Amino acid sequence: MSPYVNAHPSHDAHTRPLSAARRGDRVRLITIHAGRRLSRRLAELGLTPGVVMQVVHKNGGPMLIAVRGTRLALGRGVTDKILVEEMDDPASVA
Amino acid sequence: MKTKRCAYCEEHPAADLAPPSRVREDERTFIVALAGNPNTGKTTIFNSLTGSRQHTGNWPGKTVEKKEGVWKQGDDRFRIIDLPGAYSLSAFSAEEVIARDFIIEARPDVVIVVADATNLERNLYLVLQILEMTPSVVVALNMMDAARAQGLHIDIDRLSQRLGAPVVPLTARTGEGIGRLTETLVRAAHESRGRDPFRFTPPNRYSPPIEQAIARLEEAIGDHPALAQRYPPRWLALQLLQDADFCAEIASLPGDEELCRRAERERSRLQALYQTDIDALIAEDRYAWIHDVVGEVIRGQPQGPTLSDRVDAVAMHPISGLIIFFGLMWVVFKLSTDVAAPFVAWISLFINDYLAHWVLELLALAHLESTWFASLLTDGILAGVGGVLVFVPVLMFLYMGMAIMEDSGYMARAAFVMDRYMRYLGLEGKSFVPLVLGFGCNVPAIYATRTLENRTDRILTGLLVPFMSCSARLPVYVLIAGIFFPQFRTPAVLTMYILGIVVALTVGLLLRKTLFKRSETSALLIEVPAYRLPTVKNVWMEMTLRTRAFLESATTIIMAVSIVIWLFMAIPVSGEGAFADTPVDDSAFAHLAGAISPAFEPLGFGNWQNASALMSGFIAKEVVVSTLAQVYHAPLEQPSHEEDLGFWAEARLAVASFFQAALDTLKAIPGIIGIDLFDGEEAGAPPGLGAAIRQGFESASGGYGALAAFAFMVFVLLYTPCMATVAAMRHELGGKWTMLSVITQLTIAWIAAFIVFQGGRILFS
Repeated sequence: MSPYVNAHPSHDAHTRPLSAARRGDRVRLITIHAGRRLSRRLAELGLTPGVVMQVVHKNGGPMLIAVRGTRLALGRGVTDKILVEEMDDPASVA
Repeated sequence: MKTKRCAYCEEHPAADLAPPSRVREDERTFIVALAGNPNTGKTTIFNSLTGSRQHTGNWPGKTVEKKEGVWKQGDDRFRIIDLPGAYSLSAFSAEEVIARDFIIEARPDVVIVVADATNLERNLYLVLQILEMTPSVVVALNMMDAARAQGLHIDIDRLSQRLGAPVVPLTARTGEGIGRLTETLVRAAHESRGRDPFRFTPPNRYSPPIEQAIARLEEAIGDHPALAQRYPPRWLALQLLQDADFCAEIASLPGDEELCRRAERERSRLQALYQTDIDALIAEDRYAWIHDVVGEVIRGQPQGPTLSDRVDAVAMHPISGLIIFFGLMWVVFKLSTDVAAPFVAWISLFINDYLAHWVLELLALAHLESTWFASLLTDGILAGVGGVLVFVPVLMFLYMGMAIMEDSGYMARAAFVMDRYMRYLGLEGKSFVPLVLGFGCNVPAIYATRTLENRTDRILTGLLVPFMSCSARLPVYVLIAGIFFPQFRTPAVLTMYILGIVVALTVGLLLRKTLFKRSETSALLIEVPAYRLPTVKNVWMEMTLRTRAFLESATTIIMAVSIVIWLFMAIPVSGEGAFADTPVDDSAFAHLAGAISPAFEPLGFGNWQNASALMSGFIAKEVVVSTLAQVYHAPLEQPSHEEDLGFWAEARLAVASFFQAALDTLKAIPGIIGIDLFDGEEAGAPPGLGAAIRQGFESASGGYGALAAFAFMVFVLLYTPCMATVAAMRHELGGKWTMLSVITQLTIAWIAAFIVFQGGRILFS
């Protein structure tokens, strides 16, 4: 896949912040609305547009997500800024 | 321009190094940097390469730990420098700046990048970034056992081919593959000599528009030999394209201004083209390449939720997670208090009793036993040594608990579980750990702030730790409350603990709203590694290395203060006694206390006796009670050597008491489950002392003795805990924050005691 052609799909009705996802949800990252620093940090940890991730645990505010074979703990301040779309198939952990 | 120092040595600013020469002692000494993500077993590899031939310190001008060790093979010497763990080298944190600068400025002969085989995709990001910086890279692919257990098969040869660097599969925990790593290291080190460190091609390519921008910038860099001889051109071009701040850093080199403008133009062109940040684009392209590589070299998929996921269903659960966290905190707290206590008692007995006694005996041989010299040795120097050494068992047990929590991967869970609660205070989840440890002893608590990712959190937590009422303050409360509020001793003592927490919360919130307003509240963003069994070797190395670091940094300051205090106690002011044989009332110490005592008058306890107790309490809270006894002329019951047993009998006793201490420690381990806060503190004040202290407070406060005593307790709670804490803070937070902390504590203590005393006077009159 050529990463720069269709990596930034337009926002539509299905997009919502990651913080709204439930435990077990599989979602695809659309975009990140954050400052340059946080955006870059997240991108370097593997949260780039188009990547698929799954919510493993949710503890009120913070959530644990599986992405690129690793587990990241993200606080509310981060999950609010990540826009995702729901994936249709509820397949296994990313 | 920022004054940037050379990352390797402290001597010169980095900008003077044009072109930088490799730091090399001789032809057979190689500099090896060890890089890697956190939680990849980097420390284990470092330990197996260097063994105990390592030492720790801080990176120049930073409070980030630097570990260095030596490994020898034949005539070759390898100096292995452990770079701080980082997920990337984007220079957003002190750790990342250090790692990046070391690779670029000091130009190590080889960089070993440790990667986690079970987490290849994310780990290859750092590998790729380093491959873009230097041609001599060895990839140590760790945790192969876990990867095999997950059913992953990695085609090592193909991976090595795609990366263009040797890849060594290994399992550092068991030592598997370490031999191959050292062979590869030796080969890579020799190959790196005689190779142009700037002429190499990284394995990856970016999208064409980005590649074109890089090529144009590279060409422009080629026109400036000063830059081209200093940085790999392609890396510099990429860096300039991404990072406007980097321009400021190279700004002292010729040709920079025009180059920075060009980079700016290229950056805006790309941003206009993609409608998004250049950083994200570059990260995306790197991951696209990595994804492609991983897809090619990995066979097999991890099946279903892992064991870690199943454990985490409990350990990260909102309720059971809290219970587990508090349970573990209780264990660590008990380890550093009750379990360490018998050793602490033994060390203090050994030094102040046996050792002091033997020193006096020895001096007696030369008829020096009642001179000022004997007094200096026993009351000054030995007391200082004891003051440092008593922390050794406390710290050893603390570091054991912390190392197990870190190495097993639990710490990330603790951060997750506590995050939402600590967030209200503007702190991160892990900040809770040092704060709880503070109730045992502030010194290890300050060192525990090191586990926090973010420097702001480390400083803020470090500033709050001293308000946690440590166990050394308890005897003061018990003594004073026992004299003035015998019926309400427990509530009075509990009030102190709660007041400490309330003050910490208030100060924390105030600091977040003022001094730390601008610093980004670090949103929770951490990796949660799979659980792993900690190794005994790693835990032991942590315990000994860190305790040694404390001894090295704290000994000087504590010894110096101890000797100064002795000197003040030894000088007779009116000349009644002789030097070092001065009645306490006439010592320079008492006169100094008298001079500062007016400052305590508005607080109700402004006499020289109380001021003396507070002054010595600045050294250590443990001595407040004994100072009170001394200045109020009512010696506490002290077991002393009535009969002389002779050296050998005493030595036997000393050894026996050590084993007794070890036994007591074993006995204390089951006690971890029980609570016995007041145990052993039952001995009230000796009758004479109680009356003398009561009278002292009554007369100093104009008849409000009880109120003044309560204000005194509040002051003891809130002012500087002890010299050792100050030394620890200087080590961890730096001198500036330590000064601020000491001043703030004194101010807050004074104001709080003032409110208690004056407010109470108005209420009760």
